Amino acid sequence: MTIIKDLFDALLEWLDPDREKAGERYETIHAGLVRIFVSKGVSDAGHAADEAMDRVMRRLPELRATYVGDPAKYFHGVARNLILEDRRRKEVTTDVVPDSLTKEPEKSEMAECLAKCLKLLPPDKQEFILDYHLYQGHAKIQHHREMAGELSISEGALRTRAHHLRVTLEKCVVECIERSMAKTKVAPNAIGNSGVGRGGNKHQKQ
Amino acid sequence: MPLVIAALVVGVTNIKNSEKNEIKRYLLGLSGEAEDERLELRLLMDAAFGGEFDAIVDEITDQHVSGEFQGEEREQVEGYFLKSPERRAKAQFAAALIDHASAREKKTVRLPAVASPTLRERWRAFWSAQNVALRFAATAAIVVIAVSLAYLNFRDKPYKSFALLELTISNSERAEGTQLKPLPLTPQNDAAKIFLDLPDQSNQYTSYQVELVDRNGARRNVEITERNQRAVTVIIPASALTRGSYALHLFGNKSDGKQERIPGSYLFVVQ
Repeated sequence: MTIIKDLFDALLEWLDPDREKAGERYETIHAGLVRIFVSKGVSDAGHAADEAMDRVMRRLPELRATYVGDPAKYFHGVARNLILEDRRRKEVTTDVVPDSLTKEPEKSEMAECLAKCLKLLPPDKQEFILDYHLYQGHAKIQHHREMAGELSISEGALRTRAHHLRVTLEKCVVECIERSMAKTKVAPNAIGNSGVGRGGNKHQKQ
Repeated sequence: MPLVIAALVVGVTNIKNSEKNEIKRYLLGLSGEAEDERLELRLLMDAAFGGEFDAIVDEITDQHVSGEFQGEEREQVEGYFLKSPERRAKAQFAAALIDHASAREKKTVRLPAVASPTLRERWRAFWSAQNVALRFAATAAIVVIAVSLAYLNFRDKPYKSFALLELTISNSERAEGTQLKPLPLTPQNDAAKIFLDLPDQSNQYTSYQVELVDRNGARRNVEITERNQRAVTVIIPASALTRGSYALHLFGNKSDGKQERIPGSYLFVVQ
């Protein structure tokens, strides 16, 4: 336990001498790794990001003495290797993934959880997020323009506001489905915010 | 499988059009290795860029769920973007959210509290009051309008398979001596759908016009099917594209009715 803590402290120290900044860099790198792994179709992106962190931590004693450059670049190299390993594994594997690991939530379950989570939002935010998701194509673009005009904010600010609210809502829905699946003893399928994950992140910022 | 959820909500900055398109290409598996590396390094170094990346993931997901992608675009989204279980689950969430929003919109249409003549009853009363000649002329006009609308609708959507290309404006006016982007046109494609990234200073225009110029200098206007603040999309029938280099010229219409050519060209080649 102490060894892991020491290694983790050393990793933070390597990222930045300032502990707070190091913590932020760690979060950014971990979230970035998850986004990359999700985008490249790596199975279980959260776990792969943890694995990348572990690999770098284990090599840290020699790295600190020999590596020159931004640590993010080293993490990127490790991520690339993990992506290749995942591809090779998928090419040779003949294992059948158990149903319980791939089962996706029922449509009605998703709708029910969404309705519950929407009710947890203040009425104006409920109204906003539902309004934002109306219409398609040109009509949607025009609608967003009008919404921004009504709120006297830029379209970019409107998009930012909608994105943040959606992240909150999605997190709530994920947790609701997780609870619901736990009740029926079915393992949940991963659901997340475009790969920004804490997943199985076992190294907590200290 | 552990649950992957949002742990970090970071600020979404308003990035440039070119960066947004770079993210889209990456997400759809259309970018090259060097482009991938540059973007991935930024994801590992810049938390705000990660927020923008997520917002674009949301946009693509919503567009897919709303059925806005067709043909090859749709195949690209389904075969690449939605490869991971996280993205598929995200699409389920987006579908539920969009359904909920539409259902609520429908519910808000309320019946009038006091009974009053229906639209149909009012129309009947009005129609009966008109003379026969006027009724005949109105019926003929309605038939002509309906046929025209049907024709326009048919004319606007004849294409099923597109060759896709995204272009940024080049300072060069002519194709010669410039690296041209190839249009991946196959015999199966009915048309080319080309996304023209707008230059940063072009938000002063209320509308645009696009002109296609072939290697012999022949010009024709092309149809703009979509536009937003960052790009305009044009569709060019495959029959209008033979082998050779092409330039697209962009014209901006100002609110005072004046039109001006936006300097530079969007260059591509059909091989």
